[in-house]
Amino acid sequence: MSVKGNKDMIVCDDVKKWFGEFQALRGITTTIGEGEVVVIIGPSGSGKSTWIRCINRLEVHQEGRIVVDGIELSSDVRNIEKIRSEVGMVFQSFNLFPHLTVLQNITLAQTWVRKRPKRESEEKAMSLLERVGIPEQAAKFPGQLSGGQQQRVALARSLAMDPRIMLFDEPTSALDPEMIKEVLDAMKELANSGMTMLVVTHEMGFAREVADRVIFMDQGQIVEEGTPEHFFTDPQHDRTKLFLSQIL
Amino acid sequence: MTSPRVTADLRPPEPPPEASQPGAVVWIRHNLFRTPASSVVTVVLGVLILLAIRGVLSFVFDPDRQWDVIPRNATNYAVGTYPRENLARIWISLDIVFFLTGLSLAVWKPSGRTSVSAITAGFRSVAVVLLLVGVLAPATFSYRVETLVLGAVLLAATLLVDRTVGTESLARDVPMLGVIASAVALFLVVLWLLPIDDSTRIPFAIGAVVGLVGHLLGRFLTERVAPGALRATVTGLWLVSLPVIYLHIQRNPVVDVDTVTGEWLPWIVGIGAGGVVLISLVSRSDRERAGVLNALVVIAAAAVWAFSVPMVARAMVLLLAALSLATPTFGSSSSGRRNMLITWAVAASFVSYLFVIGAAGTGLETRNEYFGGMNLTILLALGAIALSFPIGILLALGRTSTMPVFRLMSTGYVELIRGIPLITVLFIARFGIRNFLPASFDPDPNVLVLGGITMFSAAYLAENVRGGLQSIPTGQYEAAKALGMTTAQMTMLITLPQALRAVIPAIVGQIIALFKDTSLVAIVGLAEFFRIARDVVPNQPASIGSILENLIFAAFVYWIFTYNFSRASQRLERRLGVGTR
Repeated sequence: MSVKGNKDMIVCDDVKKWFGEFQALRGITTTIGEGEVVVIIGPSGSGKSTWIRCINRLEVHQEGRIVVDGIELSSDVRNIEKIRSEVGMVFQSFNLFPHLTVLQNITLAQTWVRKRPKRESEEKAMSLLERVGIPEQAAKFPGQLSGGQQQRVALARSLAMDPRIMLFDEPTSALDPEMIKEVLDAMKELANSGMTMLVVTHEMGFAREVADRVIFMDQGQIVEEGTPEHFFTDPQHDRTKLFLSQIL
Repeated sequence: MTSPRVTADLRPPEPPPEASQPGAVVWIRHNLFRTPASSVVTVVLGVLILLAIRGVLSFVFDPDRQWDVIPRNATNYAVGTYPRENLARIWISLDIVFFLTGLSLAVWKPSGRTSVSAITAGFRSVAVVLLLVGVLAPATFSYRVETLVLGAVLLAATLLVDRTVGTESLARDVPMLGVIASAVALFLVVLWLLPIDDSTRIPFAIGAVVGLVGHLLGRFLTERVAPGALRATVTGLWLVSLPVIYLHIQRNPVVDVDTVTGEWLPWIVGIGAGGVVLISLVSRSDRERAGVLNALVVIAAAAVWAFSVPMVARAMVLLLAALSLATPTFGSSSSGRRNMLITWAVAASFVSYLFVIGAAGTGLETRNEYFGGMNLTILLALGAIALSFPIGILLALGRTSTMPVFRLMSTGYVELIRGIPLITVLFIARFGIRNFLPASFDPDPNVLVLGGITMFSAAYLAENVRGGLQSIPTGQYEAAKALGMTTAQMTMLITLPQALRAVIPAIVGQIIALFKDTSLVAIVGLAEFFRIARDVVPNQPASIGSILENLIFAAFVYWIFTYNFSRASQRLERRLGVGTR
């Protein structure tokens, strides 16, 4: 049920995944269109992160199909690297490279994966740092920045690869309240520019304001999915009602 | 109910309160005699320490000890049996080291500044040692009085300097370079003033001038050349200096031109050109064709051992296979292809150069034993460090690899070598390995032993590096993968650099152990530093001293080296910010 655009960016068909005996995903089926912003909510252990990590194959699904931008995820190495360079990801714990400066963090993959000349990579990195509001930090090391600044660098690092899809895995969960806003603002700006985004978050304000669609997951499956208005005014499933009543 | 409270004006930050320096008496009371029990411990341990010092001094000042044996054998200690009429070659080698040291000091600018109080503290410890010697040494009365007076004067001088400079002495306002220059000047002055017949005065003075010239050149260049390029060049010069010194300057090689041009040159040129073609082909191919080409070159690298070809050809094909395997990862863009071709040209030239020079005879009078003493110890230590580093890293990567063949080979190698004593490895390297090599290939014993130490050290280094790789959080791997990096790129750019930084202390420990372990080669017949200490007494014409003085001197010299390694590693850790970034 894609809302925006006429092209399917991500198609998931009955995706299943086990960790040993434990089944983390019990059959996820949904389609995300180009330019759509989808927020995934749900209690911890419900499979939200596992699902989006399957989309760039940081986790390997065992059954079902995932098609990203027309390429099906299989064990073929070339497909994986191709898809990964089209799909950006922002992590809860930033995962910046601590031995490189902020600027080098953003230029490294551009020069080695995208094979861009050094000067072009640096110009791109500086323009992205300006876009997320911290061009003056370019020469510092990640350890010298605040959490919010680090997460914005991580965002710039992903965007430098010109991704067609951005995945966010609880990007603000490790931040304190004043820093959450600066990261969410950068994400809002990105959403307004037409990026296809898949966001796992507990920030209901962000979901209400920016999302085209909200997906509620529990026990490895999609329980309810709909527009933000639907979710915050008229949730249907009992489990959804219970979850929302506890966090709102 | 408390009423709400609002701070109208937020305060600006204030300077921290001034720390008061505790006086000596307070410090002693606080740290040495705080409780009755600690007072007893202080007194008992203090007496024990004084007794130990007295014991050492009675050994040193025992009239039977003839320390004269050390300076008399200084040349033996330094270079072993190196032909004496060619000692100028050793001095030229040292001048190269002095020159590069001066250059490096200018290029890397030891930004550290030290304080006056740190320097006076150094002199004060010397003064305390002199006073202890004066009080405790069982020497003649006049000697003890002289020592006491000297120590007291030095102590008074340091206290006077501290008092006059006052609190400013706490500031770090003395450049390290000045301290180094003063130390060199002091050394030269002492050398010239010592009442001995010494032939090293003039060469050392020349060395100091050479170092100064290097330093001035470095200063001149830092203002005109980009720092990155300059540092890379100086690092390259250091790496090149090792083979230049040991293969050319000290060995004076005489190349057997007929063998080289007749038998080797066609192979060198053929494989060199073939390598250029192969690497260009692989870098332009898609994955399947590159895979086929690489499989062929790996088969060729194995097959070439079955045929009777010169050793240099085998080594070059092996090198080509390694580079060709790396080409799909690093050489797929046009700039990457250029870099791979340059790497091949440099590596192939270097390997063929090593074989040509290595097989050459020497123009010096003696053949096998021209390396000896500290000269040989340093060759073995530096050579083994430089060579075992890349091998150890490859083994560590192999052991953490997901490919079962690499993992099995690396694990097998590491576990095998770690289960064998170094002395066994050295015996096999020196006497056993010849049985496995073609008769035409008969390396120098120094090279065989260096190979043995390298293989041994690489296994231990591999385990250190593997520990570092395991300390990298999974998030780093995930972030690199999410950016679309290949496994090779992830390793070279993200995980390995971080792993190496994390294990600097362990690697330095390994280097220290390796430096001391070079003394074991004495047992397989090489006359390195420790062997000289053992052999000078029985071998000299007139009997002076005993082996005891020599062994203690050797122990002291090894300690000086390793202590400085460990200090240098602490500085390196601070510089790279291990644990802070």
